This record gives sequence, C-alpha cells and structure tokens, in this order.
Amino acid sequence: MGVSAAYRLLVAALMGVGLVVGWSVAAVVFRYDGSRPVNVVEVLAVFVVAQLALLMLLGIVLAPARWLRLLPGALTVQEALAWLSPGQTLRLLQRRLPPGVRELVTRTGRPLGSSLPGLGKVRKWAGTFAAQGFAVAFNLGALAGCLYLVTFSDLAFAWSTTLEPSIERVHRWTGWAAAPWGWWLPEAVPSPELIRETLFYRREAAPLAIPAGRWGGWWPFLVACMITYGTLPRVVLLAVAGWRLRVAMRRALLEAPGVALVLDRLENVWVATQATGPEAEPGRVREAGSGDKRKDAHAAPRRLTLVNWGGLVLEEARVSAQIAADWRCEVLGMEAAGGSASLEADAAVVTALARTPEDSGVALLVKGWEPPLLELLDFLRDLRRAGGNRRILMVVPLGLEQAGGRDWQPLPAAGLERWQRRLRSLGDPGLVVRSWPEKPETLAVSGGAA
Amino acid sequence: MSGRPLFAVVGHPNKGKSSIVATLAADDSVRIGPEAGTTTQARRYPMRVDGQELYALVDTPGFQRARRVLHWLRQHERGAHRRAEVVRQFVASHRDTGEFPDECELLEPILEGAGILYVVDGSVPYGPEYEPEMEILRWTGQPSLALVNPIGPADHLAEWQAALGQFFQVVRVFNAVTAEFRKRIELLRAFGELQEPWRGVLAQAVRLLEADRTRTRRLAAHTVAETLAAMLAHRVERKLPARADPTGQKAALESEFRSDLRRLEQRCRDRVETLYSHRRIERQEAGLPLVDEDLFAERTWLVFGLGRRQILAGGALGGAATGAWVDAHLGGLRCLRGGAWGRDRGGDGLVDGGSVGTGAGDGRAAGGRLITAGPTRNRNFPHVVFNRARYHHWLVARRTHAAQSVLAVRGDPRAVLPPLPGEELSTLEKIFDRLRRNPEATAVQGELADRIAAVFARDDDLGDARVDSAAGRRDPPPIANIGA
Repeated sequence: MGVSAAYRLLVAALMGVGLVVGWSVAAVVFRYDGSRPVNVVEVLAVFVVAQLALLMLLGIVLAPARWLRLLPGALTVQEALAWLSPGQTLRLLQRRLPPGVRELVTRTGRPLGSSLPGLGKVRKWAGTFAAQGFAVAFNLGALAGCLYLVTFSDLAFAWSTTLEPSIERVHRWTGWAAAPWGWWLPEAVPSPELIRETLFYRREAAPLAIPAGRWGGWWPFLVACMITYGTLPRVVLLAVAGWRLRVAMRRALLEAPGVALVLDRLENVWVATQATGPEAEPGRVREAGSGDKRKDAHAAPRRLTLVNWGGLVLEEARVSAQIAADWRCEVLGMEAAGGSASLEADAAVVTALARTPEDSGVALLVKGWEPPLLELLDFLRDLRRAGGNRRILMVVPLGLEQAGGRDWQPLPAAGLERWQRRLRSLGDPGLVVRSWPEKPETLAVSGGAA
Repeated sequence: MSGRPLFAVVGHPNKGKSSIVATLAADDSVRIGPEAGTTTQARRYPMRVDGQELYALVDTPGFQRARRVLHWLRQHERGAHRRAEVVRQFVASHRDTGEFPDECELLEPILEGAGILYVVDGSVPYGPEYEPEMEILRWTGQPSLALVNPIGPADHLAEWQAALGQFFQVVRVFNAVTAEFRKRIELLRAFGELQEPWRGVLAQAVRLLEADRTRTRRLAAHTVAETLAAMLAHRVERKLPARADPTGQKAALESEFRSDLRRLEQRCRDRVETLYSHRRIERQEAGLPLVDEDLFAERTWLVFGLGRRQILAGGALGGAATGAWVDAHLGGLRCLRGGAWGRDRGGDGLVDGGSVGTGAGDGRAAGGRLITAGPTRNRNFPHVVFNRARYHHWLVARRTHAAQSVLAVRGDPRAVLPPLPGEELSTLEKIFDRLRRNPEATAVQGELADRIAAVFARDDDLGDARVDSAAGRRDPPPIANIGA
C-alpha cells in the first residue's frame, strides 16, 4: 500500500471514528430521560468552551516561535504539547501492535520519517489535516446526534451551575455568543425570560419548575453555537490544512535532493562536448629485449659518415670537427636527407652511404625535440638493407640549438629514452642512440646480441 | 556530408592535437602523452545539445610519412582542380594496405568535409619537414586554420607566423593547457569564420556553451552553499554514563568532528570538479584549519537517559493518555512536526540536551552525560570554508582538460582573488547566521547560493593580467589573423 493511499485511509478512518464519537458524545450530553433536563451549561462546556480551548492550543502549536516569544509562557506550552502529540503516542502504540501490523505501519510510515528537507512541514500539515478531519466529523456527528434527538424525541433544556451568575449576566454572555447570528436569526438568541424560566436547581423538582413552552427554547441557540464555534472553525482549518499540505508537498518535492538538478535539466538544454566512445589503445612499440640501457654497447666506429636528417640548421665543418674530436673518429663527410628533401634524394644518400666501407658507421643527426617518425624508420631500414648488417648505425638526437645553431644542447635523458624506445621497434641490433655533445653516452637500441 | 560543421585536428605527432581537443571538448579522458603515436585512430568529439549534434571535433593521428604521401599525390596529379580527387584516390587505394594508416585516418574526415585545424608547437623551431604536411592539406581544398600551441617556454612564434601564413587562412595562438573558457569560445567563433554556412551554427554553439557555463557555475555555487550549511550544522555526540570522565573522549570526538568536516569539504570539491567535467584531478591542499575554540559542549541529559519504558513507568503514561485525547482534537499539530515515525532530531528520546534545558539541579537528572562536538560557533569558520571553496572553484573553472598537473589548492588566494567588499561580507555573515539557526532552510541556502554564484561569476571575469602576473605566466598574443 502506498503512503498516499494509507494516509487517505487513515483520514477516512479518523473521520468515521469522529462521526461515531461525535454522535455518542451528543447522545450522552443530550441525554434526557424525563428526570432532569439537559443542562445547557454542560452542552456549551463540551461543544463550545472545550473546542475554543483546543483551538487556542492549536494556535499556539502552529504559531511560529518568533510570534510566541511575544506571549509569555507560550513557547513553554508549545514545547510541552510536543510531548503529548499523537506522533509520540503513535510510536508508543506502534510498539504494542502485532509484529505484522507493526511492520506494515513502519513500512508505510518510513517515507514520512525521512529526513528530507521540507518533509517536516508535510508531516505537520498532514497530521493537522487528518486531525481536523476527525474534528469536523466529530462536530458533524455531534450536530447530527443533537438534531436527531431534537427531532425525534422531546428534550427539555435548562441551565444550572453552582456559580450562580445573575440572569442579566447570563443574558449578556449568551448575547455575545449569539452575536454572529443574532441579527438574522433572533429565535436562536435566548431571551431574558427563557434564561430566567429555565434556571433549575437539582435539589428542586426541576422538570416541574420549567414551563412546558420553554423546554425546547434553548436548542436553536445550542445548535447555532455548535455550528459556529465547533464545526465552522474546524471546516476552515480543514481547508487551510489541506491547502498548506498541498503547498508543503510541492515545496518538499522541490527541495528534495536531486530535484534541483532535475529541474535544472528540464529548464536547460543538455550540452555535451565529450567523446561518445572510448579511445583506441595506443600503438605498441615492439620490445626487442630487456636490455634497455647499456653504455658502450658498441664501440664507436673509427670512420663515420654524418647525415643531417630533417634540415637541421648547423655548420657542417664545425660539427664534423667537433664530433671527430669528441668521438675520436674520422668523419668521412655529411649528407642531407629527410625534411624538405625529395624521396629520390634520400634514396641517393642511401646509395652513397652503402658505398662507404662496411666498417664505417653512419650517424644520423636528428632533431631530438621532434618525435621519431615512421619516415625516419623507413630510412634506417633502407640504410640497413643497402649498407649491410655489420655497419653501425647511430641516431644522434640533438637538443634545441642555442645561439643560432652554433651550440647544441644534449637531449635530456627522458627524451633520449623515448627515442630509444621508438627505434627499438626496428629490432636492429646494430642501431644505437647516441647522445651528443657533452654526454658521450651510448644507448643500445636493441637488447639483443650486438 | 551532413552539413554540420566538422573540424579535423591534424598535424605532426606530439604537437598537442589531443590537448587542444581535450580543452575544446572539455574531456579529460583524452589520452595525452609524450610518446609519439599516442593517438592511433581518429576520435570524434561531437557537441550535442539534447542529443542533437551541432558540430564535431575529430582528433587524428599525426603525419608519419608525409613526404611519401605527397610524392604519391604528385605522381597522380591531374591538374589543380582535381587535387582533392587525387587525395581521395590516395585514401581509397591505401586504406587497407597498412602502409599509410595514420595519413588515411587523418585525411578521411577532411575528405568528409571537415575544416582543418592544423596544430604546431610554437615553442620549437619551424622545420621544412612540416611543409609536405601543409601541402597535402592544401591539396584537400578544405577551409583551414592553423593553431600555434606553445607547449614549452621557448618562443619561435615569428618563424611559424611566416611559414603558416603561406598555407592557412587563419593563424591563431592557442595554449591548450592554459586557455581560459573565454579563449576557447573565441577560438570556436574563429572556426565559424572558416566557412559561411558554419558561422550561424558556431554562433549558436557559443551561446549554448556560455549558457551552460553559467548553469555550471550556478550549480557549483549551490553545492558550496549546501556544504556550508551542512558544515555549520554538523555535530557529533557521544553518550557517557553519569559519572564518566569525558576528558578521554574529547580527543576522539574532536578527531571525528574534524574528519567529518573535512569529508564534507572533500565531497564538495569532488562535486564541483565533476560539474566542470574534471574527473581525474589529483588535488593537493592544506587541511581544513581551525575549527573552534569552544568546540565542545557538554550537557547533562535528563530523563532522556532513561529508557522509554522507564519514563512510562514513571507516571508519564497518565499524562500521555490525557494528552492523546487532547491532541487528537488538536490535530496532531505539533505531533508530526518532525518525528511522527521517530526520525526527528532527538526523536529517539535520548539526545539533544539543548532542547530540554540544562542543569542537574532540577532533581530530574538521572541518565548520564552527553558530550558533543559542534556545531562550530566560530564566526570565522564559514568564511574560511567559503574562501577555500572560492579558490578551489576558481582553479577548477579555469583549468583546462588538457592540464595534467596536480591541482594545488594552496598558497594565498588573495594573490589572485580580490577580497569581497565589506558590504558583501556583511551580507554573507548575516546569511551564515541564519543558516546556523536553521541549516535546513532551503530559502536561506538558495540565497547563499545566489551570492556565491555572483562571486564566482566575478572571479571568472577576472582579467588575465592579474591572474597571469600572480602565476608568473604570460600567454603570447595572437600572431596573425589572416582572413578572419
């Protein structure tokens, strides 16, 4: 059963109970067996004074704390009433229910017990609405009981109280009470004669003291009081509670976690710029062994041909001389390939290099700040094919030049290792990555046998 | 071609293509690495508005054998008017050979009609090896724009300007790692200038992205406001027997309280980062300082220390029975005010000494002691939390999705963020006060969120000069803007 259905059932049940209780109370209060008239004071105490007192308490409970601070003691009353609440009583009763019923009640009530912001007011007005439903039904039941007895039996009304107020004072009080309807329903306003003639004392033979024509004189006034001070305020409160409950429900929904996001989503278009699918795995560089870094895996060849790959801006003679000095070798010359050179020019360089003695090496001076492209790898493959397997091929990635290309920075170790990893994919044991200048460190490209 | 703008981000490997895509698409799932060939397949990043694609970026692998491709194209050239056809023929004849996988992959979207965004690194020297790439792109005949992405500190912009200007309609500098939202938007507008039919769509995209940015900022402000409310209301408590010494418990309670606050703040950080589509940020920040000098409150709990059965046995039953009738009439008024089902604060009847008064001298004290940590009363606390959140938001909002550095939420935010005016601080203080009194008041939270959103918006608009000078950084200006 949903919370909503359970709540409606609860309200309906409370109203049913209210009708029965109201009728029953009326039957008791208006009970007349001919031995003693119905005491008007009792009727007013039960159906007017008690209801007004409860209305006042209701006002205190519902009033915001800042208002109650203006009324001494009101806050204390409000706090005290909290401990008499049906909410507390319900919980006490709930623990005494049979396990199955208790489980049902707990499950139904769980959403109401949620700590969602805004639900406090929903609970408050839901409770108020249910109780006002009971109260309205109670008053209607009492009215129905009263009218039934008035219509289908002969009631005798009189009034009696130990306080013994004067007739004038009682007339004044009843006049005040009848003010809302007195101007248009004068027969429902007790006259001084009626008040005087219907005063009785229990020690006297009351029925005999009241003139027969006056026996029913009070009922229009009593019914008007029950309607005006009992039923109507409750009907108004029921309407207000129903309205506030709807408002609280709406607000609670709006304040529930996530609702702001949902509303935001409804109010705004959904903008997404991200990729719709996962990214492909990166290409894997073929690993050719475990020896990633070995110093001097290859002795520097005694003779070397340099290749300026990719259009490095450098002074050929100066660089050749410095490399020859640094590596203690003879530099046979410098070719140019890659970059803006044509493929035919590259092929010619390969052919020329293949003609050099097989014990001489080839050192490609490359831009270390650029990544090693497949184009370079193609060139190295062609070179190996044409130049034979015994030839040492060296790739020398240079760091960014300073001062117009006259001085070179050695490539940082991380960059050097990136080059090594990439070139390893060729699986060429005669291929090395070499740092220059300043760091004459040779990195073996392949972990395989040199 | 569907007519929707498509932009292929192409270039040499390792020049920041993926970084640019990550930044423009606000997607930190893009794989960015120092190794060449990180991107092996073209990947689309469509801008979708309620599922409808407006435009798309395509990240592509870099050129690997540009000279060979150009050589093939020249061999098959049939006149300048049919060059695009030759490129198409190249892709068709090599698509499945495996000889030019990267070139085929990057040329395909261009042949579908994509505009070309050619990316170079402005911090390394220009080289002639780029020319075959640019020439191939020119052969496609598609509208093009060059982006100079200065990855490193060196400045080679002038030589790039000279070279790129010969091949591309528009040349712009765009630092993918530091570009703020405003610069991303400017670049998108520039994309729209490449072809007349694209202008309207890109203008619409810009409007939507700006609106989305405002919305994101608002949601971030709400998140911070909620967190502040939760932190201001937070407390932890522990029940102790009547004669127990609370001294030993205080350290543990304080630790729990602090870690709770920290967790709330971290959760806020995570949410803000998620709102800005940052899902992989690694943060470093100082711990939440201070909490409160009078962190602890010690109260005596009265009858609530007793069990409910004991309370009832103590004679409360009579009163409750009387009250039940009254209350049924009253209408459950107070009744369900917060705890009909026992979930109210203190609804379990055991805690919240604050609501039952104080002092053991009224003769009712019987249960024990309740020590609580928080809620903090330190007036500075919400300001500290707010300023930390403000600084974090500022860092996250301007962080690009290409940035891979650790997000350091430390240092002095005053170096970059101007202090709030006194009037605004005073307003915030009043809101904090109201939140302290009623942390669940969503209206107050909403008001705070609005204030925070306004501050965030101002922070977003901070001039670059102030920010860059504080960070010791300078983005180079655009070097050319030809034809746009």
